[in-house]
Amino acid sequence: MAARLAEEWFAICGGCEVTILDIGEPLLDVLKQVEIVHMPVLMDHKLFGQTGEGTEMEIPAADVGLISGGIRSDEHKKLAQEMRKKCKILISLGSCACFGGVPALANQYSTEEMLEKVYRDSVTTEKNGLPHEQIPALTDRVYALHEVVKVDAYLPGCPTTPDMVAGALLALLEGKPLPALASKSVCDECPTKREKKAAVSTLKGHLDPPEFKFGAPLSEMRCLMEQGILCLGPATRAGCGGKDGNPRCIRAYMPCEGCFGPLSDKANPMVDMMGALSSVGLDPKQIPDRAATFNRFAGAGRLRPMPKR
Amino acid sequence: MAKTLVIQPVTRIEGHAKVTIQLNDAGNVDTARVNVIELRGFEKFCLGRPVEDLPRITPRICGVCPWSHHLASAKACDAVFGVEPPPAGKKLRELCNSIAYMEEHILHFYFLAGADFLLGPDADYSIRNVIGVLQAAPDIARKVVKVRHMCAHMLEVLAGRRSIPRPPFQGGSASHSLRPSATSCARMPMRHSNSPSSPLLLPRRTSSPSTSKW
Repeated sequence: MAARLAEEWFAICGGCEVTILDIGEPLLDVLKQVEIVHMPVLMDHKLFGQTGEGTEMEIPAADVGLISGGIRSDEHKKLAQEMRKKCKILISLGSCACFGGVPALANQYSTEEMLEKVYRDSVTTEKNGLPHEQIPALTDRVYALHEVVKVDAYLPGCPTTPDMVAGALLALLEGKPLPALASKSVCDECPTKREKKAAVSTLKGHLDPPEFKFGAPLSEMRCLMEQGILCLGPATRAGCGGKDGNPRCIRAYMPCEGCFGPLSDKANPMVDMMGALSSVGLDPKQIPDRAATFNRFAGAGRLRPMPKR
Repeated sequence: MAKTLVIQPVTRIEGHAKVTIQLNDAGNVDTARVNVIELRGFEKFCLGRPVEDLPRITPRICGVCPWSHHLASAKACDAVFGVEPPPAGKKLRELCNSIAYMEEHILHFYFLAGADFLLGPDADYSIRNVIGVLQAAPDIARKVVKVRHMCAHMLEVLAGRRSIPRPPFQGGSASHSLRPSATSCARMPMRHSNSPSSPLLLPRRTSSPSTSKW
């Protein structure tokens, strides 16, 4: 019997859903074994009934539930609870559901400040009232999914990788336990050469190119951080490399930006990164916006409005 | 009797919306509204970020068309810094944009909207989707999945990854498939050397803002 799959998306961009398609041709075989019962991105199932006459949001019962996106409105909260009720296994898909993701950068501001900017204070907007009719109220901040309902498994990444999605779906179809997340950091998987001491005394700019020999293996390139390029590898969970093993941004000679999130739920990337930078002899104070830079994908529960000066 | 119908969600688009229809006592439509029920606040949280960071943040506005947001942001940054990409950098951007154009259109038509046209708007929702297309026209579906995946793979080779791209930046492009010296601007004005404390203080213009295509 085909496994029943429900999917819902909250405060997201849709990139993780597209990543499911990036599985490629094996996807066709997966789709044959899956019966999708609710998935706004692919299917026209409506929450209040197809004719809109229902009074409560309803999702059909499913074996597996995927949710992408953080919780940004009261309606997201209700839907998350409905998904939890109807799905035997609930999975956080992508960094937004796992730790807030980029939309959680908004946690640096209060919801009122945000609404004021978006609807009243921007140059191209007429200063009218805030929209309030027929739209759900926003929550006070972006919440990660597990802050609201119990989550059984996490597939982090911005976007997550096709390998991870395929691995999880195939394991579920075969009734095996889901593959565990890596417990190592990106640095542990990174092949670059480390000498434990930065080659420069100050951090380079965002876009200064790293030094490397074109065509030579990555293992001959000096660690980007030691070259003075801010790389979030030390405070970020490994696993983005997929089968290749090498972290995907490093593969493109770009520093890690932390999209797989912190190493554990309790980890504080800010503290970890300050330590990592200091330990190679670089001054973290050179980075002007440390909180947002180090928590770019992990703002739910970690970023909060700054006290007024 | 007056009644409210809520058609929610509007599906197979990126973005969250619903349609609220108010019926009057005679059962006729009184008002019908499209409500956009999503707000993430990019307008707010992009403020105060280092300007070079924005081409990495704005693709997250939409994961279906990340390249458009990415390149628009990269071009805006070019203008801010007053730099122009070298020919190879421009061509790489154009190439990636063209591949993304193919990929996104296949995605939109065959995976998202196409089922409504291929199977008709009256078909049941459980069939009127990409899986229904897969069953109705397996050969086309297989080809479409393959071609879209090829486009995604090309972007991965050229730009590190398909969705949420990283490479094009102010004045050019970082790419692991070409020599960086051929694609990136000779020397970018860097904010750290100018003003470590103020991320938005812009370096002196080296030329007038770029008005060229990319």
